[in-house]
Order: sequence, then structure tokens, then C-alpha cells
Amino acid sequence: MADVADLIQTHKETNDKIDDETVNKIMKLAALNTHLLSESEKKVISDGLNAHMAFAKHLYDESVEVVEKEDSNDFHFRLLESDHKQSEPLTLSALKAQIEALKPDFEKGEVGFKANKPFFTIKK
Amino acid sequence: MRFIRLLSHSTISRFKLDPNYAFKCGIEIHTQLKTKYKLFSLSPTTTSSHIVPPNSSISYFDIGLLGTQPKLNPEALLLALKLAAALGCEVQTTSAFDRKHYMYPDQPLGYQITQHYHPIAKNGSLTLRSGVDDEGNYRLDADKCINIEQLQIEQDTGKSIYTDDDEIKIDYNRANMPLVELVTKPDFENFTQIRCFLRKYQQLVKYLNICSGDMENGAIRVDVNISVNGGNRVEIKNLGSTTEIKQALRYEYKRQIQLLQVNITVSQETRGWNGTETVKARSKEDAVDYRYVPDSELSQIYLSPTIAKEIYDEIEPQLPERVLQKLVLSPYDLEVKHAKFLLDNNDNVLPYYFQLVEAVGARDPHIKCTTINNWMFHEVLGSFHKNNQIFDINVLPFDKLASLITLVNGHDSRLTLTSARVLLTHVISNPGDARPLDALIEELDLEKPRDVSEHDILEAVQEICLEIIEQNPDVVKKIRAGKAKSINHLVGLAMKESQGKVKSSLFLQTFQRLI
Repeated sequence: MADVADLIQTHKETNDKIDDETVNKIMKLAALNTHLLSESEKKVISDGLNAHMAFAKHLYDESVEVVEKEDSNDFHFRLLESDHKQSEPLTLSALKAQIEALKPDFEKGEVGFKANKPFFTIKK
Repeated sequence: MRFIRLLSHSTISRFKLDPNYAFKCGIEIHTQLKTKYKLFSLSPTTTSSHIVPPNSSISYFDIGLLGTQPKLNPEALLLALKLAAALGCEVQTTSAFDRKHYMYPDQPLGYQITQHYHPIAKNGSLTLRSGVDDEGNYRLDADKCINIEQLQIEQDTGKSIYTDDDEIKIDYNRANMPLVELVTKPDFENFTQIRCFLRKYQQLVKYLNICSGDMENGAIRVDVNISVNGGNRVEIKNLGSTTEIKQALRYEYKRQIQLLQVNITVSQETRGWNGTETVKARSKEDAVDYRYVPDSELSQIYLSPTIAKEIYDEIEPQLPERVLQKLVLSPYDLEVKHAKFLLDNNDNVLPYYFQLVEAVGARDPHIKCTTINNWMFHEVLGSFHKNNQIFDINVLPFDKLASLITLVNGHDSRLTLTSARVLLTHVISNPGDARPLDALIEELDLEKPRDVSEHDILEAVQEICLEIIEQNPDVVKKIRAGKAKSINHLVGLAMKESQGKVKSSLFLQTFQRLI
């Protein structure tokens, strides 16, 4: 069993690192502002992400080159019954019947729910 | 009710293309579906035409509260399928929803639910026909088929309002409204084709009651992708009117030419339009990584293989092209522009027209449709316009107009055209006067002389003509000198004298004989 410290140490010695540009990109995706960070804070984040990478790489068979493509996300397993046990194909009459039967649910806030203020406000 | 002028001429200057720089464009249209409820919840939908307080048409799911889950509204699915069928698309028997991740305050879930991998429909088309699908001054040189890449169902976002206090106010009434995104192939070669396509598309979605078709209020929003001479494409987002689209494309086309002329490669990027110029929003390198993944809470959509055909068979007779074809052929024989006017007003004026034709036919089957059309599009609409009013079917119900037409053009004609115009003007100017036509004819003394022999009528006509000739020697001199049209002045005087009870043609013949 690999030692965690060894994994992280091994990863530090490779060229496969999280650089500043990647940190900036990830922060931006999370709608966070990177230029408020100090250099030491950036390094903490970078080190943390590098550790994550070490664990992630360990989980994959290193002999197989994993080519990340957006399309491969389409084939992820989903725990949804309909993916594995296909329902009856929807006909036009069935679709129309579903529309007729629609009824808003008070418990879901679909009836009479309003915000207690006119707007949701974000201060820049 | 909106009265749309039959002949509208744009005064916007022409968008001229340089033959050395080939213009290529594809468009993406976001269409707000006209459903009762939102896309993944059953909170009520609103449009900009509904005045509702902000954040009053929302559910827990719409604002992304924890523990809520999406459930597809089948009405949105039906409207999307209708659109797909109308555009001849291949409806996919299996489609699914995916999450498009990005952070913005108007997107409460942190992602938009869309269809990235498996859209609802692919490969359709909309053909533009020269002479039929022209739009005002925008005339198509030839028929043009615009191919459609795909249709996908997705959520709309909330609205962000930026204040001077450095705050962003968010209204989630629009969040989770159902949209269909239509993506065309880059088949457009000039702005005329784009303009005509948008108009035809708007008419189609309005006609099928899929969408209000209102661009100005955001029910239809357009992004364009433009390239010049096969170079990189530039996307211009969020154009809210055909004027903006034209101005933005014209600017961007010129900008790309200027770059090419100094041998600078046009970058593939996304730009916005600020009213004066296109401005860079982001480049390919700055492109957002949307991290698309299938939505883990929504079942795939499995459709019967025959559903598209069933829907098409239902809507086919109502498709604008079919109705237009019906209107320009016998028995209606409408001019294309009049047929298009009816299509543009399909919710009120079109059914009115059909009812009018039927009502006139029931009263007197010998009256031709061309006569009815002349009444509808010249006399009636002209009369409303002269009175500075918009056409209102409640002011002039179809049965009242049918009676009027029969009174003038029917077998037992009781009114001259002149008298009928007087009556029409009275009815339009006095919408509160609901008296039947017979009562108005009597009060205004408009009926043709009855129980008067033809001989007596001819004698009276001759008498009036002689009197007018005597009183207008200068006009008579002009007519004799060769100015034949001056005779119309004398006819007008005679019609006035007779209160329009005698046909103008009789006066004309008599004046010609006497002079």
C-alpha cells in the first residue's frame, strides 16, 4: 500500500504540476478573485491542488494514457432508473395527458411563493 | 390589436457587401416557449408583457434552494417538438439534459440545464422563397434554403439589474423559463437573407403559438457568428432587434475586412454590441470551461418513433406556408402582401376574413372573393386609417361588413359605393352606435331611389348634369380642350348633389354625352 507522504513527495518531483495559470483558472471558475490573494496563499492553494492530483493519478492505472475529452463526460454512470430500465416511449396522446394533469405544488413553492424583498441583491 | 401597415418601408441604409470579401453567417436563436409553467418547475411563466413584481413568479427550484429537484414540464417538450416538426427536423427518440457550469448571480444553480450531448432535434431547414418571403425593401434574389443544425431545450436565466450603487439586483422571474435554442448552419450570405429568415421564423412561432415572437421584449434573442472569406468566426451575442443585428453585422464585417486588408488574421472570439461597435468579450484562449456533464437528476427523454409525424400531421394544415398558399389561390385569390398581412394577424384578422367570406357567400353566392378582398383591404382598412384608427373587429363585426358588401354588390343592390363609404365612415367613427345598418341607411338617407323608373332616373341625372355644366363653364372648356380627367370634378359635384344615390358611372356617361 502506498504511503500518502511518498505519493505527495513523488508528485512534487514530477513535472506534472498545478501552475499559477491553472490556479487562476480554477479560482475564476468558482467566481473568486485571484488578485486578492497573497503569494503565500496562492502557494497553499497550489500545493493543495497538487496533492489532489497525486491522489487522483494514483487511482488511475498509470500504464493507460487517459485522454480527457469533454465528450467522455457523456458516458458517466448515473444512478437513475431510466438509464438502465427504459420506460415506455412517450406518445403524443400520453404527452398531452401529462400536460392536462399538471398541477403546481404548494410544497415546492410553486403556488404563492414570493421573495420577502423585491430583489436579491449582490454588492460588488 | 395591432394594425400592421401593408407596405412598410425601412429607411435604414443598405448593408452593402464587398464582392472581394465573402460574408458568411450562422445564427443562434433563443426562443422563449409560451407555456403555462416553467421548464423544470410549475411556477407560472411571465413575459415582459406581463407586469408582475420582481421575484413574485418563482418557486424554490427556480432560485436554487437546496433540496429541490428539476422535473421536466411536458408542455415545453410538446412545443419544442412542434417547432422541430414544423422545421422538418429529425426528432431524436432519445435525448437528455446536461449541466453547463458557470458562476453568475442570475444562474442560481451554478449551472444551466441544457442539452449539449443529445439535443431534442437535428437537421432541419427553412426555405426562403423569393417573392413570398421578402420583407419590405429586403428582396430575396433567389430562393434560399437555410439548414438547421439542431434544436435544444434549455433554461433561461434570471435578470440582472446593475445600479449606480455598485449593486447587482437579481430578479428570478425569468429564471427557469423554457427556451429552445435553434442553431443554423453558416448558410447566410447577406443580411437580406437573415432579415427574411427572422421574420419568417417569428411568424412561424407566433402562428403555431409556440412563442409570442416578440424580439423587442426578449422572447426571441439572437446571437450571430460571422466570418469573412472563410476566416475565423466571431460570435456576437445578445442582439435584441433586427436593427441591432444589422448594425452589429455591418460593423463587424467592416472590421474584419480592415484586418484582412493589413494581413492581420481575425481572431476567433466572442464580442458584444454596445450600440456603436462590437467589443471583445472573450477570446478562444479565455473561453469558459463549462464542464458539461449529464444532469444527474433528470431522466432521459424517450419518444415514440411516430410522435414527430403525428405532430406534423396535426399542425401541417395550419403552417403559415400552407395557409398562405390557400389564400393566394382560388377562391380567395389574395395578393401575396394581403395574405401575409392576414398571417401576421392570425389571431384575429385572419379568422375574421374567413368568416366574412363565408357570410357574404351565404347572403349572395355570386359576389366574388375579389370584390370582398377589395372591400377588406382597400375600403375598410383605408377607412379606419383615414379616421386615424386601428382596425378593430369589434367596431365592424364581420356580419355587419358582409351585409354592407351585399347591399352594394349584391343582386338587389340598394346602395351605391359612395353611399356605402359614407355609412362605413359613420360606423367606424361612432363605435358606440350599435344600430343595424338599415336604421342608419334610413337616418342618413343613403338608399338608392326605389320605386322610380329608369326613365325618371335618367331624366333626373340629365337635369343635374346640365345644371352643373352651366355652373362650371371653365371646367367644361378644359374638357373640350383635351383635359379629359377634369370630367371627374364634374362627376364629383353630381355625386354630391345626388347624395351618392346614383352610380358615378351613370353621371360620367351623361357628362361625356353632353360635353
